Amino acid sequence: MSNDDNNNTPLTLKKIGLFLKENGVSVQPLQESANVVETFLIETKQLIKTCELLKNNKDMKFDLLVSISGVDKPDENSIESVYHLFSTEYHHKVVVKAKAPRDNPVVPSVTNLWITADWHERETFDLLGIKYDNHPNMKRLLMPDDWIGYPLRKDYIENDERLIWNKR
Amino acid sequence: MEQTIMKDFNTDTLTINVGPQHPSTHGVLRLKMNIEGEIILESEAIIGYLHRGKEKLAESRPYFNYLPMVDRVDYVSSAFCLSCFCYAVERLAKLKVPKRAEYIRLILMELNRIASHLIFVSSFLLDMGATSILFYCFRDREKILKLLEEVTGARMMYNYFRFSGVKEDLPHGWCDKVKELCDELPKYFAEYEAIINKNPIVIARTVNQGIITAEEGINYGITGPNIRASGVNLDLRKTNPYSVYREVPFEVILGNKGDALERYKVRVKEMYESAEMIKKALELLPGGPTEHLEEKRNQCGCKKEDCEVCGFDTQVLGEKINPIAFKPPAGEIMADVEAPRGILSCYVISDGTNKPYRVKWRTGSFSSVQYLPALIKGHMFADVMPIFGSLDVVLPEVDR
Repeated sequence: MSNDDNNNTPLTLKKIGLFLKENGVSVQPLQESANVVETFLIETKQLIKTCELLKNNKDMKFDLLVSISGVDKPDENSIESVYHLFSTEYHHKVVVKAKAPRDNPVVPSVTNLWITADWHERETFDLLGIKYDNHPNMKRLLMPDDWIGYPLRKDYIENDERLIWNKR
Repeated sequence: MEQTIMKDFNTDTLTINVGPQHPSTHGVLRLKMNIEGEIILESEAIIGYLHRGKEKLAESRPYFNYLPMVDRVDYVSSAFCLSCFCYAVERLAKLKVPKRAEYIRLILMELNRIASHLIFVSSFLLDMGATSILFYCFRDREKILKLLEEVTGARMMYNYFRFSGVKEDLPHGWCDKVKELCDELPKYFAEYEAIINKNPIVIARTVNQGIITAEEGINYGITGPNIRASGVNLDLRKTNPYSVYREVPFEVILGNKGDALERYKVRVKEMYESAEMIKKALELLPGGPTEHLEEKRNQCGCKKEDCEVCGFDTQVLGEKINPIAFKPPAGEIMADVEAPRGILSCYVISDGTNKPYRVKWRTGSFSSVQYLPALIKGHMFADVMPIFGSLDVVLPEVDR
């Protein structure tokens, strides 16, 4: 599943993307279907740098982390960690995505920048198994502590031994 | 409340367990606290007791079949969850929504906001031991719920919004009833204010309790009335208008102190504002009340796109969609609405099939509960209830 299937025009960087590129972040623009919010994919190792730039620059000021979502993509053998940012001063939005390999997904934690990331990252770890590096308290949030597997992964049911009765 | 004393502790510090089933936790929240005497040293919030897997359920059923489940994300203000999901799918599938449908949604949402804030006022005061206000609030909430039931057929789980519109038009005479109620409501709100605002017990227990500063609140992801009470002008209805909020004038209510009492006051003022908004929206409703519209339509009957009585904007459903064959094009979208408990976002990814690839809910209460341990740190144990109550948390929304 790619985001630019229906789109024939080449993707160009807009204001926020250009700002990041100027500051040495390799940005790959992605098309969002409604084409309102700038969306891009960045390299996972540059995530902290990108978030710092977006939060602290006086023209960006993305001070509110709306959510962190994990998206499992077995076709591409990767898991995405998606950051939705919002600025309470300029009221603009941006979506930043970081990719990690599916067998050992590790993404740096942004808890030092936004404290709210704490629970969002724990939830994503809980449901998709993305491990956030440098997170202060990486344990399950919604599921019980002894739960096996990551429910929101696409191959969850097949991997779960307890649900073997499903196959009868 | 269960109290467990850990025997191998040599100091006076106790570890106690509040919840999961505790009347003041508004659902099923568990707090593990270390207390010294009455002072809370540190605490940990444990959630997940109401986790129903809403996000996983979405991946296994068509978009239409997911609609009734969306209601149950937040049962106190389900119109907001529904509208949020509908906006996301509409923008994904590029569906046009008639103006009349948008206005009906707005009216329902604002009525729902009042009903939700009434629950807040009653439960907030109930947490502090004032039972009488509960009956006042529920008396008035009942009137709102009756009106909502007349339209949607349900008191709480409306399931009334559809992609590109609403299920059916308003019943005859409904607009007049709503207008009448909205004229009455401010009187009722003044009644609560007369009871609560100068009550010495309420003031003693809420003033300067659980202060949220603007900066820290934003850092913790606190949104909605909770952050507006700290003076942050963050109201998506105004800053990033969706639906027809651009056309309906209203004022954003801001507080400055950010304590528990201020959060209550902001919500009460918002109820006044919502009542005004509904009245204005009823005047602006394209086509006017249903009974008049039907009569005019019978006389006109031109069925032209831009006609004032038979045109697109006076319909309630933009496009009739086959529920089974409905396949939005591949893509992703994040829709945000300003719910009574903060920003409610729905992130929908479609892969071009009739089922969503991924749905993610972001709710205001989730961040509020995360912030709770930091807010009650150093406070007395008895302050937990007013502080937690003032955040207006609905636990099903936290666990989803």
